[in-house]
Amino acid sequence: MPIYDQSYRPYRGHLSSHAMRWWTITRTGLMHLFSKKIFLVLITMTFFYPVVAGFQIYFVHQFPEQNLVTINAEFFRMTMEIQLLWFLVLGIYPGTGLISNDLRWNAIQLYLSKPLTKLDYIAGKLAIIGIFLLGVSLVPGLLLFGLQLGFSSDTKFLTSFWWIPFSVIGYSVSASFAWGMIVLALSSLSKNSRYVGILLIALVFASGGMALFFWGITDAEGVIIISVIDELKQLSYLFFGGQGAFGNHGFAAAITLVFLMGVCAATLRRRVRAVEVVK
Amino acid sequence: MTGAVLECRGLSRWYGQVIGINDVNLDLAPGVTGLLGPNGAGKSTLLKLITGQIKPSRGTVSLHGQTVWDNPDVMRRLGFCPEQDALYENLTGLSFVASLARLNGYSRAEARERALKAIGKVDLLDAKDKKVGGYSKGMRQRIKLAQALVHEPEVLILDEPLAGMDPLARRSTIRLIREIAADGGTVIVSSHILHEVEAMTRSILLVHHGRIVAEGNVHEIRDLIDEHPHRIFLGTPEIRRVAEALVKWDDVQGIRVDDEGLVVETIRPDAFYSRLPGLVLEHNFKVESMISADDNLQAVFDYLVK
Repeated sequence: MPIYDQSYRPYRGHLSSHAMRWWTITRTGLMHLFSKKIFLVLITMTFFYPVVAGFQIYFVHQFPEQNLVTINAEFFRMTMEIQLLWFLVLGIYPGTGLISNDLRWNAIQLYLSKPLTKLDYIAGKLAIIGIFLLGVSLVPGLLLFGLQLGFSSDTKFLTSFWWIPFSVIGYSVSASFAWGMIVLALSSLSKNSRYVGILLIALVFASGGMALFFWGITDAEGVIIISVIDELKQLSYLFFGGQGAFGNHGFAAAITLVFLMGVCAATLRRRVRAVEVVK
Repeated sequence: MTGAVLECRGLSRWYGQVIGINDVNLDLAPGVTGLLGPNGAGKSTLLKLITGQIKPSRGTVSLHGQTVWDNPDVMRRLGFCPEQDALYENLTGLSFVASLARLNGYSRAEARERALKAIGKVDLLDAKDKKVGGYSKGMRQRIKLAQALVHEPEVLILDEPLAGMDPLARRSTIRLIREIAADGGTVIVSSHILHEVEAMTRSILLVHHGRIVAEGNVHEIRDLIDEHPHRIFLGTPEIRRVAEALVKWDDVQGIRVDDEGLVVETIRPDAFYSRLPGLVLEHNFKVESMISADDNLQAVFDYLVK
């Protein structure tokens, strides 16, 4: 009588590679969000301004004598700046709940008891918010550029502004990454996503207030980068050129954001734990 | 070759000035091992070290020679069912287990198939499409168990798995744990209740104050326990009549009157339990409840650490 091996036999089938394991978290998060009607309404609303900008491009080409608006680098920079409003909205929902809900439900210990690193987990969560942030900045920016090229009867615009798609990509990716990290770091600070939302709004308004306060007493335009939102606005001048009411402090904004990313990364490293260690 | 699947060497973990686990050396072979200790003994800390959830302050944990800490590939061979609720309230049981299965690298179809199989093992198929938020305590325990089983791990680590389960669910879970061990799996079950562990295995580890104070056969522990008076509460309105009958038994060492019954101290609890129904029927006593707190485990631990 043959006696077969009674010991443990592992799964021999195909497994996805570790490099894409974070995508499981992202996909689950996206599916959950897209199942909510309120979120679909929100995402639809984010296209309002890009559609208006698209009509502007259309009218500029249909009625060139009207001199409605100039399609240049500032037009695209302004689109990016206006879309920053949606960064704030998407940061509040769904951003604030991304990690705080996992903390509330003790789910991080389940994630980290699977073949997943802390970095995979954070990357997966960052990708959820990142996809939406790129959706409101990169996608409309490139579509508008394509629309402008489509309506152009010559190559004059392309030869003058060929670099704009690269600026759109550079700015969208860096701003989305920076804002995504800020939102995730705040989300890891509390088990209650409402508190995180309040914290995010407080950060935006408090930093904005402080920037104006210091500008008032020092008259130095550079202090505007104390404001988180103005920091992202200033970053747009680094990619698109030009300057706003407070001048161009794009490089200083980029340096400050790098420092801020370090703080966010340290916060996430400390807060994303399988077990809450109470000393 | 020791045959050990999981090895802990000089394993220690402290939280500031507080020692969670102190210089633990362990070799765990296939089968069920019960981790027994009072609340706060360090059982959960030990399990979290074994599952790589926390970093050892000193020492190592290895699975087939591979260090567990910061080694996600090892996690494919481990299944962990935590003590705390760790559930997405707004997911259905099936989507909860399937989404966690996908983290092991399975395709969507494979993950769903495995999730259904795991949910079937814990007898929750009827509730698989209900949201986890609507689950009872026992159902939540079982769905947590399902997510730990879904990838058929070699080592299954269960932290107080029977907590909150009704008797039927307990029985089927105990049977399931035994089956996993019979199929070559290594199961570590923590509990602070002896008879729960006793129902699953004969092999136990006693943890106290962060140390392994004894390991071996459950009968030896039971004998140690029986050397200490075992307290049993009997809820009855006929306190004096029941006490009068019980005091005649040689193995009853003391009786104390409580608010709603008697606390009986006996050195032979098994004999007491087997004779009590006969006594109740013979005298037509009204006994409304019987509770064994099993708190004499503490006495055993105190004895072992002397």
